[in-house]
Amino acid sequence: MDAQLEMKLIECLDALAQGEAVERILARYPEDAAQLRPLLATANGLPALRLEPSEAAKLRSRQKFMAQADLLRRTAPRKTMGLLPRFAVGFVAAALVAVVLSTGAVAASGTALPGDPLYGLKRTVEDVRLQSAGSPTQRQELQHEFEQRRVNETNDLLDAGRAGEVEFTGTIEVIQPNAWIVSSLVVQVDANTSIVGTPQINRVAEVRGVTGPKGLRASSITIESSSESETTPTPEATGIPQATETLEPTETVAPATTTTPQPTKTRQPTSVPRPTATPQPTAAPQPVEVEFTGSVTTMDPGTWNIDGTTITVDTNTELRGVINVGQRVKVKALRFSDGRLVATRIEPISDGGDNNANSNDNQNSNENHNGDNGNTNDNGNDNGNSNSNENGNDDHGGKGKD
Amino acid sequence: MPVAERVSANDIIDQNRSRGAIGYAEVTSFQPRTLTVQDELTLLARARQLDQEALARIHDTYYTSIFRYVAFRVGDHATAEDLTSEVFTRLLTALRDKHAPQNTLRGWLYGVAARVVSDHHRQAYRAPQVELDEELVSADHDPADIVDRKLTQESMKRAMQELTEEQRHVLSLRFGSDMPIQDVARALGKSEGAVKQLQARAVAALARQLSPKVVD
Repeated sequence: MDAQLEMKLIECLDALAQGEAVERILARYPEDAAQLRPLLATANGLPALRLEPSEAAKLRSRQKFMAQADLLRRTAPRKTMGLLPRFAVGFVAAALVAVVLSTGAVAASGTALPGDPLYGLKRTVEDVRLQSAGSPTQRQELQHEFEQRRVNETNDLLDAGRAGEVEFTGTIEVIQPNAWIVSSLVVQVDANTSIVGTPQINRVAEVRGVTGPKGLRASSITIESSSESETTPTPEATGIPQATETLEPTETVAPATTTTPQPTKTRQPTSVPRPTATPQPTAAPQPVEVEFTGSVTTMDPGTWNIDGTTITVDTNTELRGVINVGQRVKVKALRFSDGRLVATRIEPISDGGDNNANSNDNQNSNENHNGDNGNTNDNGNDNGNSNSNENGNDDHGGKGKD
Repeated sequence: MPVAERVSANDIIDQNRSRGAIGYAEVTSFQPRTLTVQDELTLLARARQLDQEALARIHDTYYTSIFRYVAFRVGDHATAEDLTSEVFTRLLTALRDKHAPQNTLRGWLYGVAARVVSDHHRQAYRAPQVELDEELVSADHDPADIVDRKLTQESMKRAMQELTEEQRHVLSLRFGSDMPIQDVARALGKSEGAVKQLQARAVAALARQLSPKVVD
């Protein structure tokens, strides 16, 4: 198409857009009409190919859009960095990483515990790594790793008898009147603990609280509503906090039959009781082995108390070393369907120097690479493993930001 | 193109408030075609805060035109529906990641729509090719007639694939979304003259694809 014809086509298309008829337009270019006609016909036919969305499609799209926005709104704010916009978090953290890397502070921050000066940096580095994760899977793995760190930190604080504010997420293993076990940690529960959700063994819960020489006291426990749920039939019967289990059946069944409270009877007349619910509690399943750590509160014959958790100690319980009140111990126990915990083994947790010393030696050599020797005494026991991880990880963080 | 009713974003939201609209459900009944640049900015500012009303407003204002654009390029309702929805999802992601459009939301949405469509075509590229219609080559009918007859979704889809990305974009904006020349120019950051030329060449290229007899 030469330049002249192109100019004419442009004029024709203008006229077409004004609503002029094809033949009338072509009449103005008699000598080029043959060439222009198929071009104009093409342009003229194009609007006919237009498709219109249905109202239903638009509605579906909006519903999806608003639901996604809703999700975003709920997940967007991050509590640790709430005051800073995201890019600022990245920037500040990157700057910190750059400045501080040479001094080894980032590496050192890997072992920081809540309350330590470097703890904030540790969490920031984690935040940056989460944000710069390449894939959702990678992010999930990191998330998981960091969650495990929270548990380890809490454990470290407890071992050291230090005070600190902690939060961690884990699986509920035991529920007793004054104490639960979540992720192998004894969590003391009292009247001031706010419990959100339905306490149930094997559910995931977020625990917030403070540690101290007397253990971990929970300020709040938020239980996630689980999707896997009803796989374990027994647990809560003894879970004193609230006798939820006994309430459940009456809640659903009673209104339908006794009629008094609800005027809208029609709703569930068919869904009579739940006959399947009752047999479960009676079926005595196998005890489940649990393991946790805590300080010995009392040592009565046959019954010990570990940070509020009552355990049965009998002739079958293997007692290692010398154990006194106040000592931190690691407990292996069988949890029976009625909630009883029968200890199979109790061993003291020491600050090093006994059986564990060997493995410590290895771990120490790792630490030396970092050039931070200072805290080997305090943390020798638990740091070792996590250290090797964290060193590697921090490197990643650095690269990611470059 | 019908003359667009110009309504400010704030007006819309305020009106809905005063009418007691709670969610965004009621906003539907209210359909302005175009927002001024200023209104867009206001809406965008609210959208960055993930303001529900503003987001619903944006969705409803642009859904139809983005759908038309996408549908023009993919040629069927179901795919167009999916891809249009994807465009709005990407807007949310952009808002979250703070690289949302800074000024012209409409231009940005069309840009994303173009990318979503070409991503789609890239994925679907290995779909079996339809063999060339013999009639196109052999018939000695008037080329204009052939064009008329062949201007169906299927042949269009094929013919469109032979154009450049920019040509497809312009044709879909102009004829699919019914966007006036000056708006296309603004969306592409080109002069109106340049857009007219682009359009003319695209039409010619398309006509050539539809009927080999068309002069080039």
